[in-house]
Amino acid sequence: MNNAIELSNVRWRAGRSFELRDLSLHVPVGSIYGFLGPNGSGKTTTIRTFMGMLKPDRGDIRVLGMDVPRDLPRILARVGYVPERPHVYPALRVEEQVKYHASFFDLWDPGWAQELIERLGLDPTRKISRMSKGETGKLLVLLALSQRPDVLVLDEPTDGLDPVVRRDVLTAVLDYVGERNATVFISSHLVHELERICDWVGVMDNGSLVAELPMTQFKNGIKRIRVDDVDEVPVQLPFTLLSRERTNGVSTAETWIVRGWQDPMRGYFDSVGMTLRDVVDLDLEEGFVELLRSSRPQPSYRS
Amino acid sequence: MFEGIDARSPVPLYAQIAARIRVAIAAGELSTGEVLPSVRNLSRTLRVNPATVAQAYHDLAADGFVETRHGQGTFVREVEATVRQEEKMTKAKQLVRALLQEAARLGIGAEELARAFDTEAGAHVRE
Amino acid sequence: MYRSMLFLHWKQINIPLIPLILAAYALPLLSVQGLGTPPGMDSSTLEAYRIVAGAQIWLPVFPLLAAVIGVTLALSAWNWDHQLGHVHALSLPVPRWRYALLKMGAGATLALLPAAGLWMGAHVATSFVDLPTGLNAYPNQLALRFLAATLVAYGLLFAMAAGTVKTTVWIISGVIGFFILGNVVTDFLVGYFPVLYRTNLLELALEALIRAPGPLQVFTGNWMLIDV
Repeated sequence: MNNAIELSNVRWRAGRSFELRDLSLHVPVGSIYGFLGPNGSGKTTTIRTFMGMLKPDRGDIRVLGMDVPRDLPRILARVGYVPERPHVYPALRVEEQVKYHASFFDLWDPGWAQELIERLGLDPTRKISRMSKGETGKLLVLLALSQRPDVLVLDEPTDGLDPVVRRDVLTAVLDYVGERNATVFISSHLVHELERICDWVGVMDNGSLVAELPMTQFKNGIKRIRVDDVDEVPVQLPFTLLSRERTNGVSTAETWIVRGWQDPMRGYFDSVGMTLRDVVDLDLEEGFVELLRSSRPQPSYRS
Repeated sequence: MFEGIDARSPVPLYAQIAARIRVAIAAGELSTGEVLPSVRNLSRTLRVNPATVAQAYHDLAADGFVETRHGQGTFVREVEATVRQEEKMTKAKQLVRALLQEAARLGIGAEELARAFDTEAGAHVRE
Repeated sequence: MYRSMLFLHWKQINIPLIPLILAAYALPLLSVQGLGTPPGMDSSTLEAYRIVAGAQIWLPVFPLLAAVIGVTLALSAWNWDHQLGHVHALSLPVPRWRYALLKMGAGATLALLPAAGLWMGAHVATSFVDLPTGLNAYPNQLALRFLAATLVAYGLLFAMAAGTVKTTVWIISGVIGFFILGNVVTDFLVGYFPVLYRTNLLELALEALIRAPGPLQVFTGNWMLIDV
């Protein structure tokens, strides 16, 4: 088993409005997989299919080498899940909810649950309906972590939380990963948050996975380059041209966004009579935006 | 010590962490026999993937800068003076290259930079 | 698992359930109010008749209370899960049928509480009444019947409440459809067979449903605490 989560050609549709089309996705064991995409791109739907909550029209899903939905109870015993919206009972107190949740999991670690309550600063006697969004978010992470899962699935775990809570939550997750070689699948539209911690990136847009690659490749491969003396762009390029834009005022100078860039490609421009002026690195967010822009149907030439 | 670690840089985080420790050893900020923070602790403080820190330590060990003693931690090894000098030089070159690139982007030539370097370094020494 | 499910259900329902338990306790006491002969006095046949007739007034209240408790238990069982979109339930490593069974079992266990209340009330009530010869008190039988009726109402509603709003609407419209169709069919048949005039097939069907040996029969049987 090389992949903790594996989807092959999964299709799911809800009415005519939304669908996942032929989604294939691979989350390597032990990785921290950042699942990026704008709101409404199908991130939560994808998560719900491999959590067995939605039944896809076709396609295969395997989690920890087991089949969804056939082996679902065995899978879920080893998966910690933090859903997009809180799934805890508002009328319960923190300690009651923890006890309730714990009774379903054989691997539950009461000592660690207690430690997390203290470390995250939760009041065990507090009623969940009276808790702030941040406190609820901490509780959800606590529940998922105390299961001692092999796979941790976090659906926008820090959305709407203040920076302090966000940091606490991420630290708790990283701590767990460091102690136990768990796989983490974390979806977010907050790109910066994932930049530090993820080693794999999957990008969703409009129900499809538009990219899936190791973080270092993702960050290294996408560049903004400035070229001069552009006459006609050759059909065969050593890299993928995501977009081109004419630089203000200068008729032959253009700014390109390219993917799959490697430094030796600098020499290429002389060979076709163009001049390479500059190569600028893009961070994850810029790369993400450019990738989405190029994956959407629109004319690639903008001026 | 790790203030300069920048997740947004295209240089992979593990390479940044390893480079920072190498320079610290070369410049004597970390001395021989000193213990490095555990993978878990450093990943917590930097809020990065523990695998990233482990990769950095692994690379440092391969380069002979540190050694991992099982169950005890990662320790700074004795590094030869020439290697340390080399390491400092590598870092210095990197800094200068970055400076030159930035200056070129702003239209400032090497000559102006050299003059500025003399006056600034002189002022710095006199302080 | 079962215990935490029981706990969860109790948390959901304790506020409406406690008054219902008290009502179940009080009902037998109310039903013997002003009955019986003061100790030492001779009892007569007339007295016995008065007791039986007096208890009869309370007859419909027992099954009604049982039904209310059963329905309350069933609706509350799924209420919180519906509110959370079942996300927590679906993320638990338990097959769905087992989860539903656990929930059902927890609710059935809670049904014991009002039945126990009624049982105690019935015993207390009968101890107050000095029964004339020929009459007997049946507190245990009454409590058992009450429990059975609660469970039947609970069981019927539980499955319905488990479904989505859509399924519930389907079931209810199905029942309404059955009634409308029943009337149409009756009219149609009466047109052809005048013999059937003034017989409502629907009433017959309902009658058959309740009277015939089956789970619903429990609601119509003998609910007398004191009887011959």
